[in-house]
Amino acid sequence: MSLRIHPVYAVGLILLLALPLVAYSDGMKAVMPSGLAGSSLMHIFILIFFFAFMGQAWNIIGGFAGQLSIGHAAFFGVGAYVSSILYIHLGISPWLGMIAATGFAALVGAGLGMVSFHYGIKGPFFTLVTVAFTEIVRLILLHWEFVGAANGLLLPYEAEPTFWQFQFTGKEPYYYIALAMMLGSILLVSWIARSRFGYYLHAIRQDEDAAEAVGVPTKRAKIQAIALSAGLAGAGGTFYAQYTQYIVPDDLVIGRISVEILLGAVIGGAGTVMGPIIGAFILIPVGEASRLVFESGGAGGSLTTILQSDAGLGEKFALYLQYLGAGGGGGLAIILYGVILMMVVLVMPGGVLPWLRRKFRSARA
Amino acid sequence: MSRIIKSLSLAAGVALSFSALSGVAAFAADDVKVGILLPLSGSVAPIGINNRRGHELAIDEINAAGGIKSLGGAKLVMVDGDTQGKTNVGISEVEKLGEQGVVAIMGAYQSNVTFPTTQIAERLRIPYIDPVAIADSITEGRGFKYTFKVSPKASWYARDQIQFLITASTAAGEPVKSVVLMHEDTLFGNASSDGQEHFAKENGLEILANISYPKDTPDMTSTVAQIKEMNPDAVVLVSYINDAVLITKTMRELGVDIPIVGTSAGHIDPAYIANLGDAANYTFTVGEWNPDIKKDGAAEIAARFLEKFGIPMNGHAAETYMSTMVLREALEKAGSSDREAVAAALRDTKICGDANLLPYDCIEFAADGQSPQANLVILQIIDGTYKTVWPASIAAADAIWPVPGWAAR
Amino acid sequence: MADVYLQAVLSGLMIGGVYALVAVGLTLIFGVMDIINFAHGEFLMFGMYAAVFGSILLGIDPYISALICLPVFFAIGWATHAGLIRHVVGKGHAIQILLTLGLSLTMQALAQFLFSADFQSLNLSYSAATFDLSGARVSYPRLAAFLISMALCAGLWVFLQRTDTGKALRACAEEHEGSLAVGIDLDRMYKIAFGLGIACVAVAGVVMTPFFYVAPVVGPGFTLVAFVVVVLGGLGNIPGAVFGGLVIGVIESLAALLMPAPSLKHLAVYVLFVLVLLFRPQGLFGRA
Repeated sequence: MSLRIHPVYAVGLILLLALPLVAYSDGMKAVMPSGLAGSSLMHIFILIFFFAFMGQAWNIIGGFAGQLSIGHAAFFGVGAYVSSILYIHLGISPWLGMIAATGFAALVGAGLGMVSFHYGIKGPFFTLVTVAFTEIVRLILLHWEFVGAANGLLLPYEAEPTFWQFQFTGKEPYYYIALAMMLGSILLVSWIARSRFGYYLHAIRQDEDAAEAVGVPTKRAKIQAIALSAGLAGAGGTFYAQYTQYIVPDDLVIGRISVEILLGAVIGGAGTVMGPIIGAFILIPVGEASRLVFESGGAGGSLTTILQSDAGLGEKFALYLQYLGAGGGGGLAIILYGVILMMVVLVMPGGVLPWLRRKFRSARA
Repeated sequence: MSRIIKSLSLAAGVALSFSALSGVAAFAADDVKVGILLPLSGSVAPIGINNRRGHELAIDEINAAGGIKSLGGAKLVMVDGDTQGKTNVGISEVEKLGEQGVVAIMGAYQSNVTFPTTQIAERLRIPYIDPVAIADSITEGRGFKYTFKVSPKASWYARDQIQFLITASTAAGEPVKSVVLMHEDTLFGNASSDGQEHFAKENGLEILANISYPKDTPDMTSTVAQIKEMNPDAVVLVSYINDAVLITKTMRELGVDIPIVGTSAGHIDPAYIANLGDAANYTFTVGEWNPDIKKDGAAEIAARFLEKFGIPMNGHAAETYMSTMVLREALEKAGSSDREAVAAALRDTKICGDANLLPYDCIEFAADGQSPQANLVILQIIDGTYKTVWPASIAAADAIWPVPGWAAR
Repeated sequence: MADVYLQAVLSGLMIGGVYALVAVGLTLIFGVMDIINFAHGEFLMFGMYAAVFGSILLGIDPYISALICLPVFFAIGWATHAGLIRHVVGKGHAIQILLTLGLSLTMQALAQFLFSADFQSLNLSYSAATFDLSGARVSYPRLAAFLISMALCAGLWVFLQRTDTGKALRACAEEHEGSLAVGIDLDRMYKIAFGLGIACVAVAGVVMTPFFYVAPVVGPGFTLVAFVVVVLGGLGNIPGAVFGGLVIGVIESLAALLMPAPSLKHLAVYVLFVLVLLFRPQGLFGRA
């Protein structure tokens, strides 16, 4: 299998491999905005790699197979809980736990796939099933004492952790592990894209009925895709649990991880190999930058005070404008996320990557 | 070849735009930076913003009084880290605060954000003061050296709630025998109700039900009807503000004449009274503090808070205020803004008597980081204001028990 | 004990009526133009804010606001379609879901910026009024919400059955190409349908303000319930949505009593949802 790497990516990879060597330097501190050098910078890249990995996992079923899932948080959660339980209760190394997590999450994904696709659930109905499924999983975890119920699971802190405990004092090991996971997912997906399995998925995405008609084993392929996708998401869950040392059902609330995962993949380009990667590299820094640029809000006092004051209507309005100017209720960063998503969907529905490719192709023509 | 140049210039462009965002750090050379890690946006932002006010008032007062004397009058500067109420954002913010050179971090209000962020702080060796988050396991069994928990434990809230119920009802001649516990289904609700169940059992109370309800639901009618049917002597609630208001409204609608004992949060929020009007009266809640407790200076600080922010001071703000004072004490003692020195000083810090605004004698830290004496008070809403009714040593009013029924109000 | 169940059924029915109104808007939009509107609940939320601020700042009673909000939010729905939704009609469900998801995110964040995360609620003179019905207490505001919701649903039904525009809308729902062939302005129909759907959901929000609070995050919960109702009743089926709303309201209320914890009441609803999707995706009333 020949692996032609675009020079941009090659340069990018070299830079990423070298980053930990310069992240803590004074030069980096001078160049980067306040607070974004050193350990903090490493953390941001770890997040990028993590979301790129998760986006890639989603991509298999959501991008290539075209089955939009907003429920990957469930697979992520299952993986995180499995490896954490094995570690906390049985002392099993989270490395092995990650394998178990991948397998377990894949089983769950396959189960969901088998049930859904057997009954012919497609398109938006499938999306709704994934939403309901995630909520069901979350509610079960929320009430199950063995896994900590609403308290979640706190992974024990080791002051001097060993490699097998999958805990590290510095950021570098997490960085390279996450980078390796991201690279691994790229290799896996690019292999899928060139394989017969990948062509099946592509055909299913284009027109499932036509694919069925020409003999593509649609049901089997979709189940394989969702199992693979879920398994990877489960592995990601283990990494996340080991990195943050804490997993709680709240992490599975719809609208957080589930949406963040697919956001990157969709914006970058669902169904392409590098789309989720590009998407993560765009979204995470945008999120960080917007938190820097926009006021958090609250500095202007409280809206309720303005509402309940004795001032007249005109005066209240003036106070309200002041309040908005000081940042209002905050959350401008998230407005940005939503607007970016909508713009990409409208202007570049295939994602940023295909759009860029078209531009460069027409530029060269 | 040109593609490589293109790639490199792309990379350079990204780097340049980042540095454009650098901005100029507007700190003077000898300022001491203090990291404030709170949810300043997102659905719990109002509480986060209120927590921040306690820090702000304290820092203003400290700076006005000459700053940190042992550091040559260095001023304290707040550096905000907005967690947005989310764990992974909280982690990002702790990293940033660490890189920005804060001497210590105070936060993060929510227990589930406090767990991972204290851990990062431990790895980075940054002193982390927890003013408000209550989960027992923040300090239990972790062996952390850099976490300093000013707030009482979740289980102590329960201990004092149950203690009050028994004391007040016995004094009125009709000791409470049965309770219903009801809590919202997140970490806060769970942690609190675990403690309540434990202490209720320990004191021989019959727990008729321990109900976990979904947070932010529009309709609580069936559940409240169920409680009316069970007819306990008291209902112990753990709710945030929306649910607290809805449950009380529903109890009024259905004519449920059972006294409510809330667990701070929603029941101690001024919006509770604002939204319920007269219906808020007679509600009990455990609380961290109240302006009317019998401590010298409490009322004055409350007045200054009200003047500065136009909002009454509550327990959270008192905790964040005092936590800032604890930090100041440690800085003075350490005579240095080195994190190790400050951490060492914090371990020996002790603020007692009237210098401690909170309703107990001394703030200090045990080996596990918990402040051992952190006690609670019980408040009751009487005539539209919160009044401290327990413990007797610092109470400002007598508890009204038994609580009049809805029809009789 | 029977009292408690009666109470549960009654309160379930009343909130179910509101669910029905929310779902009716969603099902109309889907039926006519095949669009899944993930931002549905956000329009409910803005309707609530309109009513709350109208009451606090201008002293306008929410029920009057409901009358005002009908045309106002119809116009907002119209504009939203013209400006945004129009671009993704017929472009596949994935894109539509993603666009409306983005819209939902943006609207929530916008509400937070404009109104802060502080929740607002109304404390009106009649907020606590109740009357007795065989041992159960019925709250007047909740009953009013139920009645208004049912009236609106009925009105919409009559509109669709009896008026020319309504019939044209139904034609679009059943046969897109055929409608074009007979000269129906499809784009205009879509705007009307979207406008109607949004007007319904906004008024559903308004009538809840006497007893429920508003905050930027209340939307998604109602959107999710609406999806369940719509699937139960059959996509595009208005009476189905009404029936589904009432059923889900009652199930939810009873589940709060019967499940090990009220916190699990949604579990019952979601499991039912998945079962319907698996075994009868056309809903209780749809044609297979």
